[in-house]
Amino acid sequence: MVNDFRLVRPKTLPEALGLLDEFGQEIEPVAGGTDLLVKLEDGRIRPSQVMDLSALNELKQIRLVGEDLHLGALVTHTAVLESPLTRTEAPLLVMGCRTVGSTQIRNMGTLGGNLATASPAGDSIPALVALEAKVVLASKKGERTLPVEDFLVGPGKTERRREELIKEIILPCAREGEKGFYNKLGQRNALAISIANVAVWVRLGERKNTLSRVRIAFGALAPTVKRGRMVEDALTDRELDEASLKGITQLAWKEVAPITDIRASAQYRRDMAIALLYQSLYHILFLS
Amino acid sequence: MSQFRSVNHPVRRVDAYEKVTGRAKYAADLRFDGMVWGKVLRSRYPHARIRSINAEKARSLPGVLAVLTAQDVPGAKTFGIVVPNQYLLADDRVRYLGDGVALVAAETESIAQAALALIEVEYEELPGVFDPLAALEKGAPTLHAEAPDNLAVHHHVQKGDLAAGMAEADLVLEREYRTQFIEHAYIEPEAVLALPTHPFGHYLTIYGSFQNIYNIRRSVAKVLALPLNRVRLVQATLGGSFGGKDEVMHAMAGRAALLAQATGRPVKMVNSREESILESYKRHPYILRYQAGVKKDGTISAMKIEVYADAGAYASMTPFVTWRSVVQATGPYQVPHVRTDIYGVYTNNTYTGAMRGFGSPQVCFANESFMDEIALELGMDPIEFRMKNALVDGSVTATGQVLNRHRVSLKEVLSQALEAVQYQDKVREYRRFNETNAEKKRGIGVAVSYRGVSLGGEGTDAAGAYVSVQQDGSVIIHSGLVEMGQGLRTIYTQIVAEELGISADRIVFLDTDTSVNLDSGPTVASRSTIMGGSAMKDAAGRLRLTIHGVAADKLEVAQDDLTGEAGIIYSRNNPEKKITFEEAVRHTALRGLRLTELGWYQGPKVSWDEEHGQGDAYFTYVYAANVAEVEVDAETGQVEVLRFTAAHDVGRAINPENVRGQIYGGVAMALGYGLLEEVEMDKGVTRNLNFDEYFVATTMDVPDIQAIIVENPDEFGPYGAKSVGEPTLEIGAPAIANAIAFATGKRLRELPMDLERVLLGHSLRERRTKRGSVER
Repeated sequence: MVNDFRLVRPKTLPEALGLLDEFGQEIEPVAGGTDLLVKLEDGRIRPSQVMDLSALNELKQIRLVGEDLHLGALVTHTAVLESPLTRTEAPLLVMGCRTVGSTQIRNMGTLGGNLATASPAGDSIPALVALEAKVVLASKKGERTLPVEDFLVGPGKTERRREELIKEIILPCAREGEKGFYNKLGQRNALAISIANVAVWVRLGERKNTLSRVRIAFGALAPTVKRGRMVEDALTDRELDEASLKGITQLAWKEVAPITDIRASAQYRRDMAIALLYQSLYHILFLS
Repeated sequence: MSQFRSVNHPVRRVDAYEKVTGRAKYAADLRFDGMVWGKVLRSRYPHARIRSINAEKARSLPGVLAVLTAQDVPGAKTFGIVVPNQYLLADDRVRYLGDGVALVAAETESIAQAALALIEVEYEELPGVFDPLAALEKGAPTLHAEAPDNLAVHHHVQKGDLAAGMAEADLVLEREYRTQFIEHAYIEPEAVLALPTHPFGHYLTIYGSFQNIYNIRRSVAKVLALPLNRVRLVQATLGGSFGGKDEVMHAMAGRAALLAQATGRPVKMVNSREESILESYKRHPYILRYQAGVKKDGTISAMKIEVYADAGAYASMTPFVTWRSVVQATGPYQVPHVRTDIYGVYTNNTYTGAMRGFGSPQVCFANESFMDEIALELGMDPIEFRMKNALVDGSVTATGQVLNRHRVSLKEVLSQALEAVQYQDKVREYRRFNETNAEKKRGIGVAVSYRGVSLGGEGTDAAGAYVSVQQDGSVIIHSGLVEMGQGLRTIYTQIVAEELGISADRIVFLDTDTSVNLDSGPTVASRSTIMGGSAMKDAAGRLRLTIHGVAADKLEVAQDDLTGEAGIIYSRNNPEKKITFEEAVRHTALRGLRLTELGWYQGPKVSWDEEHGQGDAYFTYVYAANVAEVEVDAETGQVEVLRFTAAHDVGRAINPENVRGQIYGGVAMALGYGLLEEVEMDKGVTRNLNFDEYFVATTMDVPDIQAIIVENPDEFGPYGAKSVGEPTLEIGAPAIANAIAFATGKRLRELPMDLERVLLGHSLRERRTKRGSVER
């Protein structure tokens, strides 16, 4: 049952930040609403005020700034899929956004919202972590920028303070010699929350079958989306074949800390971290 | 060219336009002046004694009009079609988590909801029993006084001499299979709107999402202590049912009516999805122990089957569901010696009842998996093994019925399905594929079935029809069997159009209303076409005789020389002699002849001897063969169904497009049954209450489906038509299981065959976990 609350709809970012400054403790910002409306309906949150961000058009832009891509917090998953800029400059993010929920959810759900909800299973987040994206938080007092990885604290917990809004996400544009792969395992082919997922970003080495840089992010395998630095190091600057890949990806077992829930057991999830990582790297190295 | 003008053609659905344009009114769309909202307080425990209920605080909440409990029920406290042991409102005990304890009517839905929280119920928790095998043990907690052993029902089939049959065998194989709780997952949750007897008339009217309106009416009348003629049920457009909107609607309609009488206001009740999944009955989980004796040459000599069905808290349709299981448990094979026992057992789980298939999906999964396992043990091709034992014309079934009144087309449907997929080529192709691929494995699997049409030995089987020709030649029809998405209105329209020689667009189908229609029993058992269709044909055929009689007079030709087509009645010998249908109708009316007919059809004789477990269980049968082709990810356990082929003998396809629609939908449900779906019960507590965690197949999961329609007209069906609704989903799961076993070499004997089960052979998921605990 949706409870009573005051709905405010600021027209500009400063107006929104002013409201947050004044009522931060009781106000709940809503972007696409795909998570918040469910929580409201369940009574899991009972805010006295809800701030509808949908009029903040300035946060819906995708812009190229130097070598970086700036994505406003209100950019929807569908916008990521359809923008020519993201398709060329952030193909890994496009892969992640494509697997979010269903068409309806992708039309409503936003990048900023996905980050703020901070589900360990959020499908756009592993790509952002693997790309070492940054998040810009704005408040009345000013702005601060954090790596996405540091922004995420725990399930549903982030570094965002009550008076702050996510303004935008900044990620480096894709360059020649870089590749990415997003691999999601769900119970079905649409409308499925990830049982486990992995995003892999690499820079190919000069020698065949080598990688000069590797970044791996695991989703739904720990309290937050998590980098796999041990595996990254083990994969860097060495010649890889199927056998060595099989061996190294076993390390993923140590990188993750999954739980058992209604979707899968912890043990199965650990096995899947390895399987999904192997499949992703195999695809990058030998199939693409 | 078809010998028919309307039937056997893909006529457009008569209700399609309203549905796809959003104009159709479902029960939740209805509103009346002065309407108030009803809500149910449900149990806090799966098994408990109610010590006291204090509703004072709830009653004093502004906007609350009534709070009712069991003591406010004026008539019978319980309802139920077979065993009336289900409470409208819990009396002194709750037996499952969905039991209703109290009702609230309030000016708004949110006030009603708030009032629920103010009702104070003092419970004394009782030990519960959640497993049918445990429930049968001595000293287990019991649910019903009339069932001290928790046994809701026991049926058996006994044929030949089991011991002798097993002794003849060269191989005796034994396997156990298990199936899960399944939610109907109709897209529309339950809804009703009840008008009180005053000031709206001398009878109650209840609009709602009803499947079996006459059964529901019976329960409402009983609990309100009213005669049947004072309870009128009107079916709103139904957003799916699949067997599901029966007992749960007895309760909802009865409760809304009770609140309407108490408040004197129209009362609306609409379940949320969570309420729907929590309260509504499910498809039974079965534990199935199969034993077969087989000779070296592949002949089955004997089968011994023992099945335990979890009935949950109430009898509901368990006695009938398990009866269909016991009749069909051996599958479509000639087995000389058979002993089958099935037990329906009460537990404190959500009660189980009718769902598309009605006791067949479980036994089909076991039996058709078992057939592949036996063939493997014998080193025989599974197709060859099936062909060797298949029922043929004149065969005797496990219940001793001689199949000599219809074409036994099992081999025909199987051959057609195999030919369509190029089965032997596929077997070779997938074997080669698997030799060279480590990560992906492919497989192909087959399953077949026979299925008794309509109610059979369950009971009285008859249906009526109303056909009324208006003076301008337009036609109104209605039926006591209901449209629930299966296409009944279109099928009946086509039959009437065929008989009268007019086009389908001149016919209007009236809404279903118990006080106007002919009580035709329940709309179940894939019986609408064969039973109600025959009644429509009867009524329309008699109207044709009347109208053609007048036309013959006018045209001065013999009546049997006349035929009707596209609204023209003409002489076959001299087509120049003709009259329009309207003109003929006008003259019929002028002569004062009757232009309205009631049709009736009584099912042919069946028999069942419960004592000896033998009988002519159904008057005819349908046959089906499914072929699944799958790809299994050897590292994750993901199963992709690549292609699906389904061949069904339907007798005659009244509407081939509708038959294909039934097949596509049935296969999609079968895929969910096989791979994805399970209502997870944790000691009587339902864990997945919405579709984020209860996984039905999406359009992205359903493969290309090749539907093959086989027609062997049946003497008892209209134009030879039999049925198609339920057979379409009963063998999908075993076909997929057999395909997975081909691909991986591993046999899965438990449903659903989800990721972990496919990869590891068993599920590791813990049952005692919070919902969605990853995110929170």
